[in-house]
Amino acid sequence: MGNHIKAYGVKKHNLKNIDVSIPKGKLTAITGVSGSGKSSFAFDVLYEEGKRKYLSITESQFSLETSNDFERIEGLSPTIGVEQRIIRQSNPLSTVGTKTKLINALASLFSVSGVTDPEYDDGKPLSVDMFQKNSPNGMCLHCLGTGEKKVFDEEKIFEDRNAKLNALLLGFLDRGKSQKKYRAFLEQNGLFPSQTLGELTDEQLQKLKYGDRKETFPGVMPLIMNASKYNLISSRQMEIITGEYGKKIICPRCHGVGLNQIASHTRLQDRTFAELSNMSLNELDKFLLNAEDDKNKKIVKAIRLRIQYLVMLGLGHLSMSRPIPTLSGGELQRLCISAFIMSDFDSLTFIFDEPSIGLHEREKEKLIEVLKNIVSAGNTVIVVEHDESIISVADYIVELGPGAGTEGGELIFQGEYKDFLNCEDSVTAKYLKDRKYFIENYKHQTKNAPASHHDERLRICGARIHNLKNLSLSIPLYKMVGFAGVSGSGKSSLIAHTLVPKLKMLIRNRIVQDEDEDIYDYPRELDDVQIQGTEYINKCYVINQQPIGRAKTSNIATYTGVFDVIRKLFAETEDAKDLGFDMSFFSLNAEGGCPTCGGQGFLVYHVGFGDMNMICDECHGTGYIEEVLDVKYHHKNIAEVLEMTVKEACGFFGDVPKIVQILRLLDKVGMGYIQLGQKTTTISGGEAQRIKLAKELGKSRNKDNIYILDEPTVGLSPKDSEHLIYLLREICNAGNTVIVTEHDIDVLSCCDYLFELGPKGGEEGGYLIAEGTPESLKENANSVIGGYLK
Amino acid sequence: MFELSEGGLSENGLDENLIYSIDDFIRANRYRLMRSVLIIKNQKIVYEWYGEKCNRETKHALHSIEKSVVSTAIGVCLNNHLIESLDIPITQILPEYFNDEANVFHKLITLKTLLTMTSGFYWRNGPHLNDPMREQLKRSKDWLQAIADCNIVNTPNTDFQYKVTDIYLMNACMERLTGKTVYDILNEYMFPYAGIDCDPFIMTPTCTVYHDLTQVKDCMELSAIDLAKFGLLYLNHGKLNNRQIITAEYVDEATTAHIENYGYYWWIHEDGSGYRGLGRGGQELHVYPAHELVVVLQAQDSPRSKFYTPIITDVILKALK
Repeated sequence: MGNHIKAYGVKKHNLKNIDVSIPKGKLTAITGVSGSGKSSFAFDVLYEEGKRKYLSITESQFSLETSNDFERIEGLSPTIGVEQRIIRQSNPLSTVGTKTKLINALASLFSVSGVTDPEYDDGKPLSVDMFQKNSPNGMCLHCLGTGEKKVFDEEKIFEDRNAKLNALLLGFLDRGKSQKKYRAFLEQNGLFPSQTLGELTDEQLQKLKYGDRKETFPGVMPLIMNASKYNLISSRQMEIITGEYGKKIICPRCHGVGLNQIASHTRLQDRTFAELSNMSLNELDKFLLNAEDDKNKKIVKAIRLRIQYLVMLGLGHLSMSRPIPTLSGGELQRLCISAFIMSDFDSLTFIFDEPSIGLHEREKEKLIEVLKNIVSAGNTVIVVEHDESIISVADYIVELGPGAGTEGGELIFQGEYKDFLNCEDSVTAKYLKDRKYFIENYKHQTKNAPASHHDERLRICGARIHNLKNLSLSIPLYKMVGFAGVSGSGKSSLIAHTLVPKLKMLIRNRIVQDEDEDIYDYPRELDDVQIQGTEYINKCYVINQQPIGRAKTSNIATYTGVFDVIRKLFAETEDAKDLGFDMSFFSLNAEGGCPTCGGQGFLVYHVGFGDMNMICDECHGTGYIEEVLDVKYHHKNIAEVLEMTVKEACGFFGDVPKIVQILRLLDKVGMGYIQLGQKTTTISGGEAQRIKLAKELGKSRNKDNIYILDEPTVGLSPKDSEHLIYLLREICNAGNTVIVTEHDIDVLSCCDYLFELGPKGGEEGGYLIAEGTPESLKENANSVIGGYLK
Repeated sequence: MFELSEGGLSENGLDENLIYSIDDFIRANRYRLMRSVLIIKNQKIVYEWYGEKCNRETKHALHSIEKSVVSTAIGVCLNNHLIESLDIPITQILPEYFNDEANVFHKLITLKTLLTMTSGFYWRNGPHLNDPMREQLKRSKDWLQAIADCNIVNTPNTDFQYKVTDIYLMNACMERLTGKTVYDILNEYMFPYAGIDCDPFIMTPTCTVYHDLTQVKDCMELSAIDLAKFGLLYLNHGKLNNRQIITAEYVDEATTAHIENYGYYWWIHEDGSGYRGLGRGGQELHVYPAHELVVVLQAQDSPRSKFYTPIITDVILKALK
């Protein structure tokens, strides 16, 4: 039995055959630089093994072989974990309300205590499913619960009688997937693509518009109105067609709420269901206090308890209607934790992945309280963490390292905190022992930086979107400027939802943002906001944490563009020429890809809880067909190259400037540890941001630019954060402005100028409570972070 | 008065022993809710079985066989030029609800579309007595508006889906076009000649509505013999008591499968042997033209909504000589 989880001979990924022992019933922090092997150990080994063991006794038809990633593991109890990169894949329609089941509870409450407007009241009792958007009884039948509709102008599409048949729908009809069916339709009806609309008989026109049951061409209108059903027009094309001939409108029946008429007009204390779903949880909690009565006491109590757990974890600023994909990694992690603490289990092993991300110092204290409560309830809690505040209160520390990738994977330390501080080999301990280590290093590194003599400023006037209280501020240019404040205080509202869209409007073609991202629409409320000082800006680079590369076979090498160069190198080898392989054979989603798994390298099995990814037998996880792997460039095949880390690849491709240039930049932003073949769907938000930064740095060479980054050091160890800060400083010194929104105290302490929003989140936030140099904020009584700055 | 004569089993081509075993069959299978079994062969009543306290005149609820009744009413309208064609789109009949602005697909929905249940409106069927979408429709202030708002997910006339929107709409269209309710039409052009005794259908302020939408539990009720007459009408190419009530062409159209095994509110047998009307709780009206056979089954409805078709498939059909 014993009171330790003991793992022997662990060799997953870069772990170097290590033995690790973790005490049960305690809080253990696993730390180390990015890429050292922490997550591999915590999730790929401990979590997976706990899950596998549990499944092998409960799911009888699923026989799972033991892993050869380790010799043995003793003392494990069933594991519950939330790894950041996994939960990113959740259902896009999921909301905070659906994930926490609060929406069902609220529906229950309405069915008991809701009062329907007399106009819509038919005397019959209300039922719970009437308030559920995805239930046939609850959904608005006009928009089917989505809250919006696409309408098309049929007249406009067929207006021009002189338009040729092959030019309909901006020519998209006679192209791509739809071409075959369209041409077949034309032929069957004796028509030619070059004929004009005017030449059609009424009957033919009708068929063109609406199809004919006997033929496979569904008709132009059904094709665009039910695009996803027929799948003949790509989503990009649909966007363009909608832009030209249609528009997305809020459902005129339910006004965006998605519920049926009766539910939309039922109120609790004069508020509708939709209004309550859009309130912040903090506000909702207060509201429910007033709505409690004898009939609904039980439900209200249950809802408020749930909300209180969420508030405790720093999520009180969220609303039930908030879509899950818009949450930050840390918020998502804590949302899942709130479910665990409510479960009230004991004797489980919980494994969390940097739950402190995105939390303000004060909020971290609450998180620590929650983690300790889970432990005292009789569980083992293991957190993968970089954060000093969390590590310093852990009962036990495990550090892996010393470096990343092949330079990591060793057990540097395991033991209690007090011994950790004195560990000479530990990289992290230095930052913990001396809290000023980071800032001292920084000052030392930058002491010879040229003094900046700029006075230019970027002025923002009248920002009032969301909770911002009519802010006006003057951002000093050519400096590193930090924005601080608790979650929900308004940082994103100010930067991402005001400054960026406004800049887009004003300096349109000088804004550089990832193609996929057009998430920041320009709401009318920004019309009154004024920005001055754009004449000082050459280009503006917006780099955030939105994921990169959605395709299942997209990886680091493909995203950064090095893969094209690598594939060319392989195609030019003698081996490849002999076999007749060109560039395309070395791509995962073309002929060279494994047909069984589609180039992914693994197959997904849907089991009891969670999905199991099993290595594809055909290609043994490489994603390639055997023949392609026979081709070698400098004694390595393409799969082996993809397994290299950025750092290793730098050495391997040392004589290929095109590749080295990009890889060096990746290393500079702290991504040296990442493997070339790592799938972009598995990287964290922070990693995605740094990769984008590297990509942009690779392009620009001039000055007078603004770089806007969102928590760039998230997910980085103190050492890696240091390197990133130096890089940002370099960018600044080269004559640019860097704007960062941050929680990390060390980073904020290194900024030249700070703006602090608050004092709290939601309605109680949105004020500019302090501004100035870090030194001045330390003295400023109004500043909350001032007390924490180094 | 239209009376049906009685006849013997053997002389009309049915095995006596098998048919008389129906009673045992019902008992053995515990069909406790069974109320009527009526067989008409060669225009004669050849067998009757009635449950407790019932006889051939006892009225029972038709439930969904009402749809087949509505189909008959349409046939009557066509025959008497109250409605000119089945190809009239609903945008012409009820333009204030159904028009291009509301939904571009509305103009493709004709009376024929509604008869074949291919309107394309979004619908999810629930378990029989607990149909949430029907509930939603029922509770809307103006159910025609609710249907007009309903999202259309399939191009009209392409996909069959059994749903109540189509029949509700059909009723409303008929009333708008003729100024008469289904009951009025049948009571004028059919019931007197067929000797059918039927109470007026449920009325609502706007129009006669297929009973489901009313708050009233009752629905159209007919005796076994009167229900059988509907079957006979179709068997006899639209004629009853020497009167052409609906055209023979209509009978053909209505009892031919259009999309999937469905005609104009008639379920068509997959093997082509005939067609039937079905109602919740065990109501069945079967017609087998080749055998000059009409069978009526009626039962007390229950939440379990059972069907007693084995009486037909396992006994009656086997008894055909």
